[in-house]
Amino acid sequence: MAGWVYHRPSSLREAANLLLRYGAGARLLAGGTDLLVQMKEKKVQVDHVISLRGVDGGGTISDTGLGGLSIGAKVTVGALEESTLINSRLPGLAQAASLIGSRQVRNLGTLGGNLCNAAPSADLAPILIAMESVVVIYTLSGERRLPLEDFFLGPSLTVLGPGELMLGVEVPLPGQSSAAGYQKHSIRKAVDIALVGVAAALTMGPAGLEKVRLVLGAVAPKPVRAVEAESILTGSGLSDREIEAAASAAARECNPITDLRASEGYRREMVRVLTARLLSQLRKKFA
Amino acid sequence: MNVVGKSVPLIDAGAKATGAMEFVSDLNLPRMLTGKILRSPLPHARIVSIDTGRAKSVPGVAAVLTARDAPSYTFGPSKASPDWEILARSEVRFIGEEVAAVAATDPDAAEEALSLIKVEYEELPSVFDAFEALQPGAPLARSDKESNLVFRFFVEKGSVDQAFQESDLIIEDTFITNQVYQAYMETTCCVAAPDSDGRLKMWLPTQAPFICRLTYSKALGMPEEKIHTIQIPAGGAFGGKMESNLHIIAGLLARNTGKPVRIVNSREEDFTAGNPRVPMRIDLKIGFKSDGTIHAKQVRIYAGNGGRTVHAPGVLATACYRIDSLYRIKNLRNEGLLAYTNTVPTSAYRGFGNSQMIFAIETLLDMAAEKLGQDAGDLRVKNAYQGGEVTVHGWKITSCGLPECVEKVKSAASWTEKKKNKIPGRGLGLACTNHVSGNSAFFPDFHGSAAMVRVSREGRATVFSGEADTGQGIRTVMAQVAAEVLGLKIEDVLVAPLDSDLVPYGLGTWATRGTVNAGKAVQAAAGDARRQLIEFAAGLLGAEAAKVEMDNGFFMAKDNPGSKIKFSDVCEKAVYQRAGSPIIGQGFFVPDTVTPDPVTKYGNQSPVYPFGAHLAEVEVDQETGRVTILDYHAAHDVGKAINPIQTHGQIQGGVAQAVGWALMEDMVTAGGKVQNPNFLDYRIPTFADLPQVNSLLVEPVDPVGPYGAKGIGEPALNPGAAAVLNAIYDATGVRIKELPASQEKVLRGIKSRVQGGSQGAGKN
Amino acid sequence: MRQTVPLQIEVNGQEYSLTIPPDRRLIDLLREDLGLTGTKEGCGAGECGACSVFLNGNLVNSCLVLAVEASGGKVLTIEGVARGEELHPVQESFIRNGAIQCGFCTPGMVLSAIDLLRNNPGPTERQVREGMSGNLCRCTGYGNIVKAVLEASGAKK
Repeated sequence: MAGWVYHRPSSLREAANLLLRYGAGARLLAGGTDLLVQMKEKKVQVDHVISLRGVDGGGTISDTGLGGLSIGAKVTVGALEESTLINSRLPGLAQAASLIGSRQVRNLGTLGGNLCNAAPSADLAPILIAMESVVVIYTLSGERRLPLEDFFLGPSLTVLGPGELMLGVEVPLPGQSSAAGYQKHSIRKAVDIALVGVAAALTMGPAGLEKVRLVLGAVAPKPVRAVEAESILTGSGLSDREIEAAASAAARECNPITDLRASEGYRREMVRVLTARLLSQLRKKFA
Repeated sequence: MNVVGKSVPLIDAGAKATGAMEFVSDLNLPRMLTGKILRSPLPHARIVSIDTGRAKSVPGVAAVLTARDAPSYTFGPSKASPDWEILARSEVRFIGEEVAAVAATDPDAAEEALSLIKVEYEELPSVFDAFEALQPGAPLARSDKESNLVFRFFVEKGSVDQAFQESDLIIEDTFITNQVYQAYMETTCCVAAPDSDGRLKMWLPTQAPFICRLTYSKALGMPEEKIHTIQIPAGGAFGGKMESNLHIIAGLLARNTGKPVRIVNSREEDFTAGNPRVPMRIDLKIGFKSDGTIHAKQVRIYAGNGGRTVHAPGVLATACYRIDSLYRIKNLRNEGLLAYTNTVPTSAYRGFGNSQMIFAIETLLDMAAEKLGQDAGDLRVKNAYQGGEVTVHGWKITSCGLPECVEKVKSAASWTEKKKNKIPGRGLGLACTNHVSGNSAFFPDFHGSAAMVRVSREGRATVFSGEADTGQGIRTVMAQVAAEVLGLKIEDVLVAPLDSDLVPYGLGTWATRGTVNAGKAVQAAAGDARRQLIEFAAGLLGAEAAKVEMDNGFFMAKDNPGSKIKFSDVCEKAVYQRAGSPIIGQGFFVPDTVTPDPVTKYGNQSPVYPFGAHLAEVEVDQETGRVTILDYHAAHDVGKAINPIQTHGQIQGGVAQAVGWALMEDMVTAGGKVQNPNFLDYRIPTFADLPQVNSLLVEPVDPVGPYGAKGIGEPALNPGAAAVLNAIYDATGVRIKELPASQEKVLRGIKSRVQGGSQGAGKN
Repeated sequence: MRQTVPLQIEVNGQEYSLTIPPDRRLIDLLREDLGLTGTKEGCGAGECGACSVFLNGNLVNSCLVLAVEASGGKVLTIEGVARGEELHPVQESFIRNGAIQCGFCTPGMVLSAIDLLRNNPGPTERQVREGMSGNLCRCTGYGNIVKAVLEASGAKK
């Protein structure tokens, strides 16, 4: 791990300039739970480590003024899990956060780190996408926003360009009669990476589901919207038959790999099972 | 009894709870260098050249060594197959094999030097599987050998073929036990330092420091007495901390640099260059009479040795024939074939081959019980040897609590009711085991143990023993025994550091031998000290020694109770009146064991034999294949628990390892490379993966063991995998014969039963 | 010339001022620079919990923290848990309940238990198991540790 230079910028501007200056060999350091392991396993070549410790801000969860929440990139996963604001307004997000790693890892890892590391199996992206989150990006020429759904390009790849940093996400207030949740399937019961992750955000209307967003994690190079499943569910009353059909559709709409953790076939089947279970679980909230 | 049989904390629990106890990886000597090892990236290759020039000139580097700097002969822990080199001379035979070693003033310099060593390899054909390695035309794993066969075990008794003809039911199947890793929390490490008196001092966190020293002295070309070993209690061992080439390399670097050298394996290194369990393919055939008695047994085992030989031969032999002394089997044919493979050398892991075979036979017996319409527990008990019998291999079963173990777990699990009222998706599985408490075949030259107990002026005792603690608590057992014999509080007993200059020669803690052998030795030594004290007290009391008693801190004459002396006063006087000489008790235990006949394998191998029964209750998620252990009962014949709370702890720890093996542990390799050398993808059970295990003690009080005790370490693990997989079968009808029963395997089995209706998915 | 950075850190109530290379991990600072070897390295990748310490009141894996990132902060290690001769109730409960075998996981385990009980003084068995799942133990099978933690919490099992 020797041989890189440590920087502690005291402003976003400074950090952005450092990123620009040092290019591909530069990495931002927030919680370190991904970066330090990658450096130890020599999976990345790092010449410059740019710590965010000295940069103010980014560590809060606040009301957007429209009932939604603005969550800073430096908020730890543990803080997401325990925040009263998040537990009351976005309980699905708190629940997803609680499934990440161990307590020790959750106390270090950050929202920004989890999203920017862009591991296909990451647990925060699916639920945040399902809840129509918007990611806020700092650039030297001003902030830009885009839906989180469009943030990921592939494994370890995001739309962040040179000199850009994630400031945080904004999650709109879920409508009346909404429910959202995340289910994760892994090998062990705790402290494990997702083989499959399924998130859903549903809004029920008088004539059936008005809004359905179903997002699959760990089964494609980036989180995917299961659009066919969504269209089956839209307007539906979440009957058993519809749930089953949607679950089967979701299983077709992903592209899982076979690796040492699980086979493609198993992952696909778990998408079906988890989707059905998640929808059945959320259905109870509308009863 | 006052101390033995009581649950007491480990004597070093306080030091461990505060972090004060130093492990080898914590030692910090003045001028100590950090050692690192350059390991082969290829499974089989000729070494064309090694260039260490640039590495040597890194500032802070004190030495860069290759095979040229080490003796040129091979050596090894296996007498039959001494095939180790300290550093690879002309050929590497597994990914992870040691090619060069560096010592530097700091880890970064050592790391940099490693990266600058240029090794040119010419790759050679490799073979990774034992069965394949023994097929005609298989590539040679080692070009210095004529074949891939390391060792063949064979024993036949009775008339096997006729017995199969006479059998009413024959079950024949193949069982595969995969390669798993001990996963002790402290990785393999060592500190070695040249001593001012010209010797080499080695701090070894090993199970068997004296046995290690035999190999290390050969390796380094030094007489044994020139190697001074200090055994430091290890952070877990489970069989994986016997001889290690890492220790030898540390010694080589220390000798070369003249300074202390510490080498600590990273976790990744420990995965890839440790000593994992011997993987086996077990082809087992058993013939039963219609009443369920086993009439014939035939087994052939293909076992993977890895690229060099550690203890796999003994493991394989054990797998072939140890269970012949669990169940009454008179007609048997056991064959074991151990093959070189270009993979990490395999060795002992809790169970030592018996765990692999127990998985096979306990699964097969489950299949037989179903076919015969018999209760799974009754079938075992019917076939099991009883106390007082001598088995087909001459093993003297001094006591056997197996029937009570089976009874206890069935009762605890409400076996009969639950079998009658089956809940879908839930199942119960039972499995039994035998084991040893010592193994005369492992170290033929002597069995048993010796100890000294020194009583000081203040009336406190120190135990000197060569039996090593690796966390299982043998030091505490020894302190308890000494305290009991001498009428002391355990707080007044110390256990001396395991320093080869001070303690008797000890074989170490393996084969579950610690409690029985060390316990008997300390009992004898403390008894000798007690006799000497009674004699001295008799002199002080003016009485006959035969009439003097020791009770409650006092010596008194039986026929003159008013005349008594305090224990501590006697000790003080004994020391003062003999010019400072302490009371030293010496004792030893020579068990009634013999080295088995090399051909017939006949001979009593262990002083006593422990037994056990496990019963797992599982729930299987039919949609995901995930298995939850709802409840787990483990009853063990431990003879007599010297320290019950620690005995329970050993059982629970063994169960946890067995559950991991059953459900989630697997060293995944491709091209000889371990794909999951970390705790992310080599999953061991966490808190959340286990219930509170109901550990139960059965205490028949063995006539031979110390206070009636037998060992517990290895039997605690043996039956677990079969118990869990038998429960999965009971819950789903899916019979899995290849470990682990991953959720994918279980689900595949469930789905194929739904589709095809045939029994289970077998191995995949 | 290798880069070094200044570091101010409080460990177990004592202030330290050092100059270190930026890649020095917190676990190395504690074990090598400060001689506090109670914190153990089991995997170096945040997967076993043996290196757990409190950093600014939060339980973290010290192998995943660069020491420089902890500058200005407060660290509590296993050495800071007992008050002189007086052990913490969790330590005493561990000793009494056979929750310690080889002892290598113990420092991290004790801190993890303290963290759990601080946030949830009366946990259920399930909560103990889930809450401490970031600490691996290979010797005990966890049973006696769970008992020890429940006893320390004053809860009846």
